[in-house]
Amino acid sequence: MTEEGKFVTPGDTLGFSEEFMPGDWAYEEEGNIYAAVSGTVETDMEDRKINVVPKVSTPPEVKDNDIVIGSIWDVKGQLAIVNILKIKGVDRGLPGGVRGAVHISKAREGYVSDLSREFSGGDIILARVVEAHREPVELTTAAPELGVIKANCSRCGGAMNPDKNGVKCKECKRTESRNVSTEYGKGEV
Amino acid sequence: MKKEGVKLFVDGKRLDGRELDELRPIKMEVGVLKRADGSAYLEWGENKILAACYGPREVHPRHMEEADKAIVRVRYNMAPFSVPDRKRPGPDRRSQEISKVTKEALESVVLTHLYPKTVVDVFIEVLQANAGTRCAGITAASLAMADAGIPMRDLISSCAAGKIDGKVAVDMMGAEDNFGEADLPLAIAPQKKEVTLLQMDGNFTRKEFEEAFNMAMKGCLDVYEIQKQALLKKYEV
Repeated sequence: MTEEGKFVTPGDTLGFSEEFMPGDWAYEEEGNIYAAVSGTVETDMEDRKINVVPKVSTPPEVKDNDIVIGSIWDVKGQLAIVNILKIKGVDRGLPGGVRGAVHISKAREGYVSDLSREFSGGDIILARVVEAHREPVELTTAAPELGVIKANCSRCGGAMNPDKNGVKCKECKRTESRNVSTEYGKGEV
Repeated sequence: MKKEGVKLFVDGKRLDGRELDELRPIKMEVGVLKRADGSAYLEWGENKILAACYGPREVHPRHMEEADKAIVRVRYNMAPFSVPDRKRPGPDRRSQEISKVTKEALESVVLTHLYPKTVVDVFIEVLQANAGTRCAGITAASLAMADAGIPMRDLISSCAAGKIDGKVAVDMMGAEDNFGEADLPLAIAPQKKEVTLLQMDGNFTRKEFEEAFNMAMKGCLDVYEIQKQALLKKYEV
């Protein structure tokens, strides 16, 4: 078994399958456990796992309570489907194609009778992850800072400004109903 | 390939004073680029190579994506100023071949099943060339991927051996490559000594081939130690 805290590179042997399970950033092959990334060794005696604590930046993964940025893919009766684009505060992009969903009960703090009055296809939203291990990832926008941060007019495609109860088109003055975030238009992602 | 009238040995030593089984000096550094997810810079003799890695990320064009695993894309490119005569920029037959074999050499160690429908992009830029750039490129690319935290079964180390004036030698430099008789680039996954790239240019006898293979293997293992040191230097606390 490799000593605790030792720096390992991909392919270094960490232990044997009889003793441990491969934990984070480790893999098992032919009865041995090896490191998959560069980092330090950490043994979890309670779960009998060997983990590698990465020292390099690793591909990001969506976790519970992360604030994420996504675009609305489709709004169905009870569910708004979201394409999760990145995690707020993490520079590195997600490994592509992470789907999320905002349920009608988690779209706003109060009661929502019509989800299409909260989001529209193509909106960029800020959301918090409730349950990352589901497929699609469960999201909520029930907080003032969460919700739509960028929307385009459904008639002329122009940029929209926040207005009371929603957004108003700069070009054609059309108003639409949205769950607008307090972060709308600040461009801080 | 043999050209007469060129002396490749002076007083029993090679033109740059090396022994037959001696590598050129190698210098590696990881994490040299800010915008890439992972990067590495390598100096191997007079070769200077920059490698960058992005991903895993969404595949474009979409038809290239695989439903159950990640794909690895490699672009090997030589700068116009990397060789004595200007190299015409852009992909050519040689660089396309090297891109392909490098991709295959690297892909075999990536744990591709962890990131389905994604791509890992690797870019290898040869800034200065003096024989052995495909081996140096693979070595640098593997470091860039390790720096990007791509889960891998192993690093990839690469080194070539060849035949000059009838003698088998490791890691040929420019003049030896041009006037030598054969070249044998090798890339391995060092932990299990799995061969992931083996090419041959010119002719070896069976005995010479084995000698060259073993020499290149030893060279790869030396390169592996330097790769580990480079990662250690950057990331050990």
